[in-house]
Amino acid sequence: MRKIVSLPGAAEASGVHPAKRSEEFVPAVFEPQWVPTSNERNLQVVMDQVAKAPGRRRFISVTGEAGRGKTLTTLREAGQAKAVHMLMLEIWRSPLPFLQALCREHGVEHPPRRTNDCWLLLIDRLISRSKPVYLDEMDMTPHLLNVVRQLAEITAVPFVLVGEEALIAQLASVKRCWSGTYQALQFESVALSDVIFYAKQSGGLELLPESAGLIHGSPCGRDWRDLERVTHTLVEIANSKRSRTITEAMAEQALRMSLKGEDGVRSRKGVGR
Amino acid sequence: MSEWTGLAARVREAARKLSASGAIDVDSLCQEAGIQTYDEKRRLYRVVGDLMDSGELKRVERGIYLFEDKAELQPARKADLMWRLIRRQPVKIQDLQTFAGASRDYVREWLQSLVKQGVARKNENGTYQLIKSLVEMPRNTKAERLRELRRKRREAALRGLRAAKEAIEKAERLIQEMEGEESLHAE
Repeated sequence: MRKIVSLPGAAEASGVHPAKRSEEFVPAVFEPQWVPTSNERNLQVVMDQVAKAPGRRRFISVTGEAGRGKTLTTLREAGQAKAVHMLMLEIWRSPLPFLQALCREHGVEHPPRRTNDCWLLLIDRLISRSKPVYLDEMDMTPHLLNVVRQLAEITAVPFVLVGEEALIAQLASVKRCWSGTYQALQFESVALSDVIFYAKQSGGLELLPESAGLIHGSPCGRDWRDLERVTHTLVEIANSKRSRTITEAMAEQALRMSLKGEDGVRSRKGVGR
Repeated sequence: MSEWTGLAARVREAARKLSASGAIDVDSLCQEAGIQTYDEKRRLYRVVGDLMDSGELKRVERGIYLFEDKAELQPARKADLMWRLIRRQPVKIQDLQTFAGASRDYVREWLQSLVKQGVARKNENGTYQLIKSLVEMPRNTKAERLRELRRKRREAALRGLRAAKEAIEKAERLIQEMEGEESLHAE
């Protein structure tokens, strides 16, 4: 990291010795870091449990609002378990493209063109591989729930269905699916401790309790994507103010500059402007 | 298999395939690994010894072994995690760094190897994007070569250590024998 060296003459104007000023402050650099959350831990626990659980229909539903980190957390978990993680596409109107895509994920370069052949090949692959399958954005394709249910039932492979809140209602509407759901995991929003830890890890910033509370209470503090943007802004503000400690005023300024703008600050403070 | 695949890798791969049906005998291991000459078979026994040392092969009885896939037990490699993310969406170096916990240099080198192989391209806004729909990650031959080199060096060092231990034990035995003889003479 480079140190800021003040220009000759500037120190006299500010009244601080140049050598002292340059040693005091090192500009913060924003480098996003992975923050282990309670959601991630809960998912790991559930996956450990389901591996030992009896029964053949084993669904785990992972739901939550957008920006809660469902996709990245499940992708990482699937990566660690060397399991398949697949995005469900809304354009799949029949089971065949879904089965073909799943076949491809299981190493079949040219999946069969007939549904039945594809089905049989996939069952063979699922049984021999015997690893969980993660289906992301499952709420986009509710008409494929029964296909997935039968696959899970025949192969006894756990299927992790990831989606937004609508997925729970879709699962519940099909009695057979709901009865086979092992656990419905709800992804919580970003916690206050996560806000503080993320700012510390990614930008080396020290959030004062009131500024952390302000960010967490705003609409930007609940969503990982927004939090990333706000933290990036905070790093720039902190560098311009030559301080690594984030005060309430600095947090307010970052929130005003964020996507939610003035509304974000107002919603927390409860005052009109 | 690539030109850099050595005998050890071939034997390991063969053992992995045969392990699906349980215990492995040496003849089927030779057949699966494509061993054709006596010289190669002699080298295979050496590889089997090394695999037993590393715990990947366990002897059940003479000539019969059980294979335990260490790769399956190891945590996912950073490259695997990065491959999963880039398959999902166009990514920046920073995204991969965050997701896989890899260093910036490693991520850049890995992405450049993908670009060189014609699998990915770099966009003007600094993101990298796959341009081929692949399921399996293409092999990074340079990284594999370096990994193989490091593994060979480690094995050579372990062999040296083992030989040194044996030599020390032998020397200790000889000293004990000499001391025993001396005490007999003294009596």
